[in-house]
Amino acid sequence: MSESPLLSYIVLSYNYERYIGKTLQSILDQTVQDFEIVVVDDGSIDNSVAIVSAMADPRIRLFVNEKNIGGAASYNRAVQEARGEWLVNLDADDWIDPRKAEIQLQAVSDDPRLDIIGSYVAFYDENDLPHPSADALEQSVNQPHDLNLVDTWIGANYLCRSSTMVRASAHRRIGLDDPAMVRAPDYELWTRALRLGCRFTVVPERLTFMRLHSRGVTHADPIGTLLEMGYAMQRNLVPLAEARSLFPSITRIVGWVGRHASLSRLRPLQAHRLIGSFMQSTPVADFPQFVALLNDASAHPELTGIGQRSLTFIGPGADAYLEVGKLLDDIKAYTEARDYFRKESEGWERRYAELAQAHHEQSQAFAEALKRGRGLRSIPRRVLSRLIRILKK
Amino acid sequence: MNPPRILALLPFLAKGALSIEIFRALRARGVEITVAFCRDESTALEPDAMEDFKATSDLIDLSTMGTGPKRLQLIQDLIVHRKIDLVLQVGAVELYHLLPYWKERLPDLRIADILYNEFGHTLNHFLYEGCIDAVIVESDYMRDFVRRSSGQPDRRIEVVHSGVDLSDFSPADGDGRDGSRLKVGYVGRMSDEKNPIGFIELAERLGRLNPALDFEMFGSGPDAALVEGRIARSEMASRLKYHGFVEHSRDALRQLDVLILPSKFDGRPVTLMEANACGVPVIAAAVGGVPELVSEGVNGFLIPPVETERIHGQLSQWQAHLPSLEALKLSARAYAMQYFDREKMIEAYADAFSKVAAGS
Repeated sequence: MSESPLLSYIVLSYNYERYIGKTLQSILDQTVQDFEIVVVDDGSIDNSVAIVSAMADPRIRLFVNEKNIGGAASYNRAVQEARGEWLVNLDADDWIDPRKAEIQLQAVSDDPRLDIIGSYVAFYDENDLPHPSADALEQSVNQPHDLNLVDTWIGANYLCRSSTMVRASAHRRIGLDDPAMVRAPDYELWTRALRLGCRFTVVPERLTFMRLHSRGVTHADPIGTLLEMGYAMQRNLVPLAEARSLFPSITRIVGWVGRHASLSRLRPLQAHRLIGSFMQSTPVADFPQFVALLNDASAHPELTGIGQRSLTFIGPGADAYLEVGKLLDDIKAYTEARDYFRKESEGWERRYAELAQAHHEQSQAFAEALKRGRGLRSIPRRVLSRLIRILKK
Repeated sequence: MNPPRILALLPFLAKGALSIEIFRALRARGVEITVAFCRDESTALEPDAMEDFKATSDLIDLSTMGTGPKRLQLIQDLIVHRKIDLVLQVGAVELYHLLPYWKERLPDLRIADILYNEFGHTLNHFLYEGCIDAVIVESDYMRDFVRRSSGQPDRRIEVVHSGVDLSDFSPADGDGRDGSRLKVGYVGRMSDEKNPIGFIELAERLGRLNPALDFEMFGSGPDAALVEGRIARSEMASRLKYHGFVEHSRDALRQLDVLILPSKFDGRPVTLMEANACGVPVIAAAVGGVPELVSEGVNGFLIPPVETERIHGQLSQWQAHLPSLEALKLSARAYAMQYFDREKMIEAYADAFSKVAAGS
């Protein structure tokens, strides 16, 4: 086994005995074989460790945490143990196409500036069947999102970690995951990478197969997710937007958080200060310090008022909102008027068609009568009197 | 002291809404109340047309009044024309930002905000609280929350404990029980915060431990399809029935031996009070204002839905000694009569509105 392989696969294992064999086998089946597999088991209580140990390939390096330390800390351990030029992420319940590494390396060869390469993904359920919502999910993720733009990252993460290959030197430069984060450490890492100048791309082929479980970590705690994403945006996206003079993007960040359904689930003080934190550059070292800043009214006390003032710019009282409201009212009125006149017009058209038809029939009857040479007397009295009425009109 | 003339601001008109019930009851006592509402939500909620208010021109549909300065002026004219003493904000999110402008123009006007729980529009409350004279809440829990969260010195808070109609919600005749089999139920909105999925998971665990339990679920809401699908896949499907929307919650509650309230967060849940009024004890999660409503062993127990063993123990105890369950049912009804009386609630609201309007 090489001491400095081209690729270091990072597989975080936690109670996925049912899936991890397939995950590792999909790595062993890759067309690019210069790799090591760093498996960090975070204290599984099932047979995961035994399954990994039983796979007799010297390239598999298993590290078992003495106690459960969480996903972010396990990831950091794996990054520190990895010796490859590229770090390739793959969660222990997902699997990959045999040509994934080859295709992603080709992308690097085409553009050597790249640091982080993802791929399109396909979603499966617990039983290896396409997930019932796969179409809708894939339609959202598998799009040509440009991950090098700030706006792409506002409130959204289109880069699935399991699909990524990260240049190890770039990863060392941007640093590790924040171990205190549970819901959105990837999002924070990617936005930090963006701030620190990393270049992204996503290979537009479904090379990663991700398993969706009925209740994922992210959706189980919308408040935690909002706070962690808020932290990542405050720390990474806002300064980058400012550095690039993308000030409207900052208003979009405030808008996204300000209209977020879970904002009202925070304590009012926390919610106001969260908004305030986007509007004032307050340096924070890590996520716990960010949360402490939101909770402590006496630390940077101005944040509360700044947040309150900023919220009104995106609330129902803001002029822009009122103008949109008026516009919507007007559109509604115009639409109603349009529908009314369309209906009337259709009625008129129908009546005209009926009259035209009647007129046509009578003309024909008249012509027939003339042709037979019997003159007006041959026309039925009823038709004749109607014809006279029309002619009088 | 004459009762104040009130303008109540509602987001929409939902049938069975507590606020509408209160306004009707106060109107019957001669209080002049105008109700203004912002939008039509009849596609999502059963509407209350409020024909009684409409008949006397006391119902105002704001959706026809535009959204801009025109609305501000029209409502202000209404306040002046009707000599309104007290504006009651009852969750009309779209109107919060107008409150300070009315207050600026009409300094003698009193404004009170009724807050039922900590979430949703309460964030707007704290943004505009500077122009609000008083907050009316239903529980001590909410009083403490407002006190803690407010930036106003000496924030005025009136606590009015809500209640239910004790003659409408009354126990069923006879227990109709099949031996020692117990009916364990969920009655309420099918939405995440009420945690119907938590109830299903509990039912599955309890069902495995205790074959003499049946489970019933009643109610509709955004998660109804999710609930239906989850039950269809459940091992307990044969003993867990989902009945969907019920016209009157009393009819659902009367079928139960015990109500489970597994909410993730809650204010002062009406279902709990209705259950007790129907003589049904509760096993409830101790969230929000719920602990104020439950006296252990008198009208129910505070047990989180994940503590299966404790709930199982309690149910088994009743099955082994049915008279103890019957005694608890009587005690739950008695508790409701003492603490959840709607008449007392109406009195208390009338009193609170008068005091706030008078600035006393």
